[in-house]
Amino acid sequence: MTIIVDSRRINSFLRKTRRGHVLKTTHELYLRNDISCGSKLCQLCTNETKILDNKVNNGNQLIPNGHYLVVDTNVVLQQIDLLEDPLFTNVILPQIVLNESLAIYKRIRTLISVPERKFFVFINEFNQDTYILRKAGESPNDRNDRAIRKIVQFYTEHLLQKSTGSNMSIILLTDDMANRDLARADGLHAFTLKEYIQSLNRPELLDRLVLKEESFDLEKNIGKRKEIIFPEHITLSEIQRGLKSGKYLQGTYQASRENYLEANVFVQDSEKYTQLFVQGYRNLNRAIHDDVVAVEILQETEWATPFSLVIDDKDDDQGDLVIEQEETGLVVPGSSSKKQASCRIVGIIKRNWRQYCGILQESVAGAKFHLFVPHERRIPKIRIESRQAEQLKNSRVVVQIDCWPRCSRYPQGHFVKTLGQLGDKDTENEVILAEHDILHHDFPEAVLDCLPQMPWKIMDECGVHIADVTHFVRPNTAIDLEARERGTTVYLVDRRIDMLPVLLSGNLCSLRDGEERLAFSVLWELTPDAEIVTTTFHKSIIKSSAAMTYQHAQSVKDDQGMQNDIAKSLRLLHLIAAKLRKTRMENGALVLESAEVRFRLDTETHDPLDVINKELRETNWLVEEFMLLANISVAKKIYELFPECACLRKHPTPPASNFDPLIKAAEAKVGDFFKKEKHGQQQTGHLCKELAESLDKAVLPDNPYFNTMLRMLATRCMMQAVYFCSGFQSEGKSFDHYGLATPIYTHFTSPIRRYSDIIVHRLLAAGINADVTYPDLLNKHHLQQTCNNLNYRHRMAQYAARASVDLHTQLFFKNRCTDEEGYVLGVRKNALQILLPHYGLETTLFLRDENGKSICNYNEEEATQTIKDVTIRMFDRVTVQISVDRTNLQRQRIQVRLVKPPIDGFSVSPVTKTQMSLDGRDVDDISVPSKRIKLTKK
Amino acid sequence: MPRVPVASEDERKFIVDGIQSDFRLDGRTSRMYRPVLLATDVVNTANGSCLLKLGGTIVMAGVTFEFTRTSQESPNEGRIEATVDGSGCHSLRIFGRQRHLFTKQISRSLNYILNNPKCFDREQLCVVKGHHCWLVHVDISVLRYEGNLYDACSFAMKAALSETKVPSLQVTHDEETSEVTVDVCDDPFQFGLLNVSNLPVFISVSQVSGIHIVDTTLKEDSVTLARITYGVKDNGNIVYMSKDGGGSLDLLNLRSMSKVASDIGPQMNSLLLDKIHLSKAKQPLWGHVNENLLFDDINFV
Repeated sequence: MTIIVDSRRINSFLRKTRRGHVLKTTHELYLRNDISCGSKLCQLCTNETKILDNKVNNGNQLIPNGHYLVVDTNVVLQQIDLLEDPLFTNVILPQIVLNESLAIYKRIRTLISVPERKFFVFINEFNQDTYILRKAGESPNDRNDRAIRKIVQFYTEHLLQKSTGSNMSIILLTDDMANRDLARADGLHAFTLKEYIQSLNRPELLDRLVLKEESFDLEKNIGKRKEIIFPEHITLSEIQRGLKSGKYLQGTYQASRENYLEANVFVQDSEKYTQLFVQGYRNLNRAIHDDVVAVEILQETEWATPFSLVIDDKDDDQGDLVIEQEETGLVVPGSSSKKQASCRIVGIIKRNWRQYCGILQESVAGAKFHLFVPHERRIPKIRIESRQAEQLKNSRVVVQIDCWPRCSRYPQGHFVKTLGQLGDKDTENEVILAEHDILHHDFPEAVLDCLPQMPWKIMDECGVHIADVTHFVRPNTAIDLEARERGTTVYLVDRRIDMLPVLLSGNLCSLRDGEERLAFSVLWELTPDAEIVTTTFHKSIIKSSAAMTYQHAQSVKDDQGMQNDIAKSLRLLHLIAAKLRKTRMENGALVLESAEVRFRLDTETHDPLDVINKELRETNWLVEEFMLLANISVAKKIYELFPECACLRKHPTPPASNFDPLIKAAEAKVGDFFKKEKHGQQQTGHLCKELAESLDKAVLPDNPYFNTMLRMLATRCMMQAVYFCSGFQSEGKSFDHYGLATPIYTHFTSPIRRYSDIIVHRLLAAGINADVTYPDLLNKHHLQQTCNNLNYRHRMAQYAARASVDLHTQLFFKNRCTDEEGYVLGVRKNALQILLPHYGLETTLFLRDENGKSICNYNEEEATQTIKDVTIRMFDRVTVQISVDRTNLQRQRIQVRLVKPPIDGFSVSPVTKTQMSLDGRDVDDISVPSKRIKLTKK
Repeated sequence: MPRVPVASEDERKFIVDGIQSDFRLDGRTSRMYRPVLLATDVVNTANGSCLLKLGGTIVMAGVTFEFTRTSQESPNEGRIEATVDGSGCHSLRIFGRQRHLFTKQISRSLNYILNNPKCFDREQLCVVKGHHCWLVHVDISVLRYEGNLYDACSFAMKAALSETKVPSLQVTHDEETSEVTVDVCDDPFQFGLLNVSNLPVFISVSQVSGIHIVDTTLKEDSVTLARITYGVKDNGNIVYMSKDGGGSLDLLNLRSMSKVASDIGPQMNSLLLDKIHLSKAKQPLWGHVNENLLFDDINFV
């Protein structure tokens, strides 16, 4: 081998930079002749790495004598779902294909790393035999296609010439017809992926083929008249121009949960509009929930009114032509005052499609196309091509959207995988996790390697004491990256998905009694009136005297017979906490309610046996007060230390209009309730305080649950609390936490289950010289990025927890039919929202008879429904019968029927009470984490 | 003209005597140029380039394009700018400020002819009238100096410019917003060429004790009293003139020196054109490089 190879090639091209400069870029490459072909057949290539088999047979009938596959870029990019099937082995992956597959690079890399799959990356661009220069008049794509054909040719000749007796063929897989035909003209074997799979006798693989817009021809496939339904999307460059000139606005598309023909677009940077309303098929124009879209504002005369009906998409395949009637039935006449600023969608800037869970809708036997009903209501039904609809009838499947042609009513997608049987609890859990994008794979080896060896002891090193998680989770280690990605621990009813491995959360970072543990401590010196004199922060080693549950602590505190250290300190703490709480309430902190329940689960099957309302003890808020105090103290400290890059949490003050429904509902019952106009201009703290006071006063003696319901409604008026980086909060510098009525707040107390706390720990540790900083910690862009992910994960975790409760509620009622007392929490045009306090369940009671005809009389002004001669108002007490509607096996849902007040022809007669075991013994409940009280030995 | 004491008094007398008897130090006659050797497209990163040898003097020229806005005074013209850099050249013998002044003087002369509309049409550098144009940099490096840098630089500039590949662009004009967007065409085989047929070359004529000689070497420079650099177009027209050196010249001398320049100019122009044409055939194919280019005279024409 020579040291200098006289085979330099120059690849020079012009490119325009973002700032408008035109640059000539020149790449040098040196071609080699010692690059291995990777085949075990080959005796010429001396390189060690030979992974392609001597003999290949996967049952393909096109080339029965065995073959290697060479894949084209379009196949890898679009059909990666299929390539991941174990059927595909002995695949030659050209280097140029790998270079162009950025979108799925990680997935393709994972494939390559599995030795059994035998994916060989062939370095063609540095190989003297396969390198080609661009020809005159050839586009870069044409050149790459030619390069791939050259590889196929090279392999064909290389193996033919050198192998002894073997007749291995090389097949080019490409979905580009032109490339295929050119390859065939060169005498090579070339097939499209579809042609290849069809010869395999594996129909389920065909389902997973991504449909392409041009290849999909409705006219041919279904035989219906082809008609353009949707307006064309404008091109991206047109959008850019329109955005610049102000003709279009950019926003995030949020489909309505209740009506599939309505949506909102949240506009990011417009002074005039923040939220725009979209109604009707043509205006929605194929946008799907979460897409980033470009919209054009409609003329004011065309503005629409949201329809307050709850509308499901019809259950049967509507075909493509029925939209006219559907749309005209939706227009709300009159009531122009309620019109909202509306827009239509002109183009899609970024699709945010993911894989969706759901079920297949029943269709005609033997049909080729099926409708897929996503679990998420805001996603439209998806039409997929499947030959295995019979087998999939009762399973949850995952589907990916491929495209949405203009002439189709539904987007088109392809089947990805099945999750399991419908109604099976594991399957449903899987659905919840997948739908909320919760990372629940097992911790990879690299993460576990970050853990210390067991048995673990404190090395020689030395308040509210929080376990020092950052001691174990060092910055930018695998465990840290994994935790940052997960963001939070997720609590489902019967399962917990940890952010950090259980060794940390259950042992090393659990302050067990009698064991020494590393901790981060916040120590205060307090006056008897609970005013802070000094605050200090330490890294410490603590040995808990006792680890107690809330219940246990409560009983120790209350038992006057106990006079040991623990009992005494508990009482003292309680005293201080009470004062802290009082001060906080006076500042206008809100006590909001949301129905929280826990399930008593069967120890074996984890099926729910009973529902228990969560009980809050004094010790709960004792701990809460100190945690809040610690969080606030830490927030102040880290903001003082790092004003540009402190990780804080804020709860924005909701706009006054958010309270409208609450005030309207409350006023009907108690008269003078929280006049926001009066306080509109005042400071937010006051507004908050007024609300708190109004809530305290709003009590109805004959309806004990009224106050709780008001608080629940108030919770819904609130904004989401979010993490943010202090350096990014430029305007107004408002870090207010509205709910807690504190000017600054962060999360410090649960690093084991929240990543934000880990950042805060690191900041604080760096600030008090207990640890070193690292560049990312003080990079505010990086921090803000992390915060955005945390906010997303946090929100999704909450949704998942709620979904899990819903699932278990449904399982609970599966074989029950019971009467339950409930309250009317909302009055809609065709339905009542009923709250069942015992189960923390909110259900919809549709006011219609068996034929689906409305029987009610809606009074919009007073928000009442009159049925026959019975009038139902908000907050009214009703009795309903709960059961699971099993008429449609595919879509079981909880159904309620009115029992009391009795209405002729609508209500049902009460059932005899079913026996319900309510004794609380052997309760095996996995619940939301309860913080344990730690007492430390001085 | 750098005045470097390279020859002793006696040696200078010998040189002058030789010139008077039409035998210059290297055997040339008074009207003879040293051989010109040319290789084009030698710098991959430039849009056009050449390496030119005039006897022992070696210069390298590179042309690069920059995208910019047109100026308000001349909305339909592009800009072009030549720089001569001698900073890496030890054989230039002069250092510091002197060297800077010398190279700058050459740059100024080159820029003068480039900005003369009769010599170079700058409208061909305009991309969109009133909007975008090219700013062309002609960077000339002196690699070795053995006299007559003026002429060598002008030859190199003309050769490099005539070989330059102008990036081809796609201009889209939006009627609505009256916005113009320019995109680069990514096909390396598509490019335009510049029209440099009117561009003059420099012919420097020196007077040594009444004799007019061209293409002086370093030693001859030390006996030269006055020199005039002419810019001569291919038809013999003189479009530029600048005097150098301390000696005085009378009208008669001036006339005969101009005569010499306008005689030699057209010959030099056509010689250069031939060389450019020949060297294009010797250029490596696109994507390839000629490894031995700078070391081997067979690559020159």
